[in-house]
Amino acid sequence: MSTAAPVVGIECRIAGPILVEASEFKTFLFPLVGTSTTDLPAPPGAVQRDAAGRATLLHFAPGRFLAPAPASDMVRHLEALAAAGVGALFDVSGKWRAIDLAGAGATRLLASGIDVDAVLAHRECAALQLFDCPVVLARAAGGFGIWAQGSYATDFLGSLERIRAAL
Amino acid sequence: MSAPPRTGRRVNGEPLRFRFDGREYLAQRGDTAASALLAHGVRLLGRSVKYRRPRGLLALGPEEPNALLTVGTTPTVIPNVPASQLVLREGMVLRSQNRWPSLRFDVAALLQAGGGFFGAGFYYKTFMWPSWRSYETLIRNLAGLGQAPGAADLAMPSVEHLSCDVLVGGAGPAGLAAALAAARAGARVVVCEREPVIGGELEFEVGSVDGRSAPEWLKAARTELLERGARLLLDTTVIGGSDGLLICHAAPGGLAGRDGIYRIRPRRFVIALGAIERPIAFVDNDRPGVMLLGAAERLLARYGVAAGSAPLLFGNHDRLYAAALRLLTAGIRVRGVIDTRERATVTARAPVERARLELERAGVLCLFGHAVVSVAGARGVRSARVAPIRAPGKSRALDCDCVLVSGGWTPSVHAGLHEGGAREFTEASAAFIAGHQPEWRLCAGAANGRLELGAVIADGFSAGERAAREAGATQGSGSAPAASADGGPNLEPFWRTAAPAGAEKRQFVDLQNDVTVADLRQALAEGFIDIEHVKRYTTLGVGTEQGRTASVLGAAILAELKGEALSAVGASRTRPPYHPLTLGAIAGHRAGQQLRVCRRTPLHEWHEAHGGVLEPAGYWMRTRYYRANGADAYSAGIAEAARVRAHGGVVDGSTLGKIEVAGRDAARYLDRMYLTKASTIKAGRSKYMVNLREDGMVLDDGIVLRLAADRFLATTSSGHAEHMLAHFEHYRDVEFSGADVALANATEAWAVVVTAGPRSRDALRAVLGADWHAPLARLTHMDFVEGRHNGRVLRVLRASFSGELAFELHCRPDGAVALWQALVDAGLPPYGLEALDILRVEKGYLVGSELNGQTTPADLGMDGLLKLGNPCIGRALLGRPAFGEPTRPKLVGLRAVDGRSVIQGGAQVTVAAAPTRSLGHVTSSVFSPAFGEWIALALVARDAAEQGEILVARSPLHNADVAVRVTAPVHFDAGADRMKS
Repeated sequence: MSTAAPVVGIECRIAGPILVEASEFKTFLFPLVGTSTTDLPAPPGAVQRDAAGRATLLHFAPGRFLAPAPASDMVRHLEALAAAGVGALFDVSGKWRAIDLAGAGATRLLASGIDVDAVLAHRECAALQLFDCPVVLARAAGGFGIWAQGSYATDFLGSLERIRAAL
Repeated sequence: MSAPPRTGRRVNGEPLRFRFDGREYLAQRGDTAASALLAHGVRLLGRSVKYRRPRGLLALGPEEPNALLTVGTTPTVIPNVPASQLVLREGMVLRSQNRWPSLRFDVAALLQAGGGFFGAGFYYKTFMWPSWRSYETLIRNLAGLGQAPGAADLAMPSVEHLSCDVLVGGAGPAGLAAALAAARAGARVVVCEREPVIGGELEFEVGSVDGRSAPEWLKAARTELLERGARLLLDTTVIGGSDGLLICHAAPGGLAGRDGIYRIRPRRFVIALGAIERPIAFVDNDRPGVMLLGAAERLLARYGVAAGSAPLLFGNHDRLYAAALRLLTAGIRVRGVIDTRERATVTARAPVERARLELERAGVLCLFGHAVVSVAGARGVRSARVAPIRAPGKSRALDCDCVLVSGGWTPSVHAGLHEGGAREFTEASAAFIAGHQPEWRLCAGAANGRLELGAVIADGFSAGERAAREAGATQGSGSAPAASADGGPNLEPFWRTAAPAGAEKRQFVDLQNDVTVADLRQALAEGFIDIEHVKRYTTLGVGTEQGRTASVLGAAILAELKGEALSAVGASRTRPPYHPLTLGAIAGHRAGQQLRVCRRTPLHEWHEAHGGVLEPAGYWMRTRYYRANGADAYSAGIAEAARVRAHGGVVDGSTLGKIEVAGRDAARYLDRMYLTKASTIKAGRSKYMVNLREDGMVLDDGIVLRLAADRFLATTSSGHAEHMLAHFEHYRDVEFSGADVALANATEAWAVVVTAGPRSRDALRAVLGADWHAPLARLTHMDFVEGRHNGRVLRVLRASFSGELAFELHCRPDGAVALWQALVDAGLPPYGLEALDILRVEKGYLVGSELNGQTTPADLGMDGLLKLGNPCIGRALLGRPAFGEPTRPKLVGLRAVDGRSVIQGGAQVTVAAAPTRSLGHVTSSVFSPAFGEWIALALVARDAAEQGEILVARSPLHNADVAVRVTAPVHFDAGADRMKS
């Protein structure tokens, strides 16, 4: 039986924040027309992953994509889409800080700020305010990947660690 | 002190010690403060807030109005913890409240003698002579519940957001039945129960469910729920909610500091929160020893503590008799049962009559049609006076040491009263039950007026089944548990005994706020006829008790006094939170470093390490000045500004908003967004540009860089960055939805290091190296160039907000510290916002307060930009006649006529002949090191803003009238020679 007593010593590893190179791609139109030809993950909330399961392209808001630490072929792909008039590519390296949460307690830690199961029930990633900071959140192997806006990263990490210590 | 041996379901015999009002007591593990103190015979637990009358325990839940304790020692205390909820821990220190110097002897209790002066609304009508101030200190010292903590030492509350198919509020018979039905149907179920165990009334009711005893059925129900994946949140109360989100507060042991907040979003919410027993008003019904019958039964069942050794039961329903038998069986000498109903009502029901006869055989006095009219005993009941209701004058005294009262039950429907929820009156139980509810909320049990066990369980099961089905569950729930029936309480409403007018002052309705029948009568006499007005005038049902025991009783007596039906009077509305909680529980993780989110630039740590004094500017932390340059912002700012003019300096401009705009239609889009055209900017050039609101007022300003034919970088002021991004995106989505234009927030993708001053070019050349010499040499004002430095992308823009030769260096965040340090090492010391403001005012640049949402481009001297005629957002309304009136403000400079006086920021600008007629106000003022005097920018009516005009800057707050001369806004380097050098 669960009781109201605080959970003691949740197991959650926090890694980061790591300043990452990143690109954002914004389509001119939404909904996307002919998404099969653009090879962009659709619908909003979809995530494209590499063979290791790492998120390579996150459809984090309608028509807005985040490519964290993009490989050269991803950059080329997005540049080609931009050249084809699908949208515009922005180099936002330094804007996002990557934070990984792993371990059995990761969900409980995030549940201090959001109903994570509900938020990611029908999508793989979401852009949201978490502990008052704007982030992009996605499921990852064994936990979650979080990209926090750079200026908030220290505070965001502070909140995570403070809450983890209290649980 | 030793305590008598006892047995109860929640205590285990393991001893612990605690202190109450300085004295040590022994308790058993599992005891509450109330049970332990009552076990020791301590019945005086507090004093009332207004008259300081001695008070004991009334209830055994969060509704307890009087036995509120302060836990801990000063300054780290937690006030107003109900003794009934507080589970003791070893060494706990408790203190009674509302008394001085001691609980037994309280000086302020003398106020009782002046009770006549302290009737309803007394503070609205008295204390006017000689003035309120004469009494304020005394009254404020006497007022309030408990003592506020002087320090906080509470753990951070645990917060959890979760969702489920069915949330069940309450784990009594109705709630458990609802949860079982929903779980069996396959729904994800969460149950919140305010007590540390499930069961509610089944904890002491004698009955059977599905052929099992109540404890056996409870055990089986709990096991089944857990096996089906339901989550049981104990010690957890539904305290409020909105928009389908329920807020539940967990306070294990009844004590703040280990709080949990659950934010639960269910598909369906079943309100099965049971009911709270209500008292009956009679003279001196507030004395220690007058207790609710259910509280006494719980005390006995849970803790093995008797409320008294010779109780008198007083009520208006059948359950008095079963309760009296239970007390008798526990070895308590019940003194009598006083039933307000007539004999025929009682004897008509065979089981009740059998119980009554059994009581009489045991020597218990049973009186019909009688009521308790008063009790005797100041610090504890010694006797009660009872009388026939039809002949109140024929009273007689009965010896007893407590009066256990039960006037019926008030269903707990607080969770169903908001967001479109209603309640309605039912004659059957003389109570307000849940009325119409939004579709996601269902009610069960007492909330539906069910008070008989079998009906309660059936109702709960039905509600759970429906909730699960509506939440999408598809399995069957099976059949409802069958419970033995007790036939219901057969209640006849009875609210107060008759009393002479003078005695109504001692018939208490709200025990927490000392509201009496006399107060209600007085409120009515003074014209407060609506229940909500009466509540506010008399304080009926306010405070931590929130009307749980007082609200319906007060409404019923009000109805009697008005000669109306209770259903017509209604009951006052409760407000969340349902029970008190600490501010810390509301704040959650937002405390200490996380009290308020802070945005940091990539240079934040450098500033801190080098004596930067950082202050919040919006969410950003920005450096106001550096300690090495002065003792305070004023002196350091002057020193830093002077040094920039003389030599140079660097300032962190990373907080500037940056919006990258790209696409074939980007130029056309920006033409619409700005007062002047972006499409005329050549690639590699930039332009100072201004945004307007649709009504023509200036919204923001900044520099727009053309990075390529189809790509721009628009900078915004730091404080407006988020708003400007939303503004840009709105027009992108609404007016340019089909266009090839896209936006990205690039604020944090670029750190900005700004160099300013005569040495800035040389320093830049030294730092960036020979590869940059030629590009730097070619840069004219508002040009920019991109390249690489130390392998990283670098953009250098020649633009100035200081009036000096200046460069903005845009680099990626990971390269900012090295670049900054190199510039500092090259002879450009850092400066902060204080100096930046001085430089801007000297140069006549907008500082911030000039963009107040009420100024047009013409007001701010941007006539040149207007003449270009670009049809941008806001342009159409610039032609309004009002914008051409001579009283419109105009941005001007001000200098003190005497060259010495301080011109206060915010000062009203007037003329000496009419000092109370404002012509405008000072928007920014600084001491200028360049001029050695105070200078200012001001918005002044055009017809008074001629250069050379002598006006007065009046600041009543500073008692200062300063004669000022109107000048051009640009105080320094009007020809811009330094900037273009």
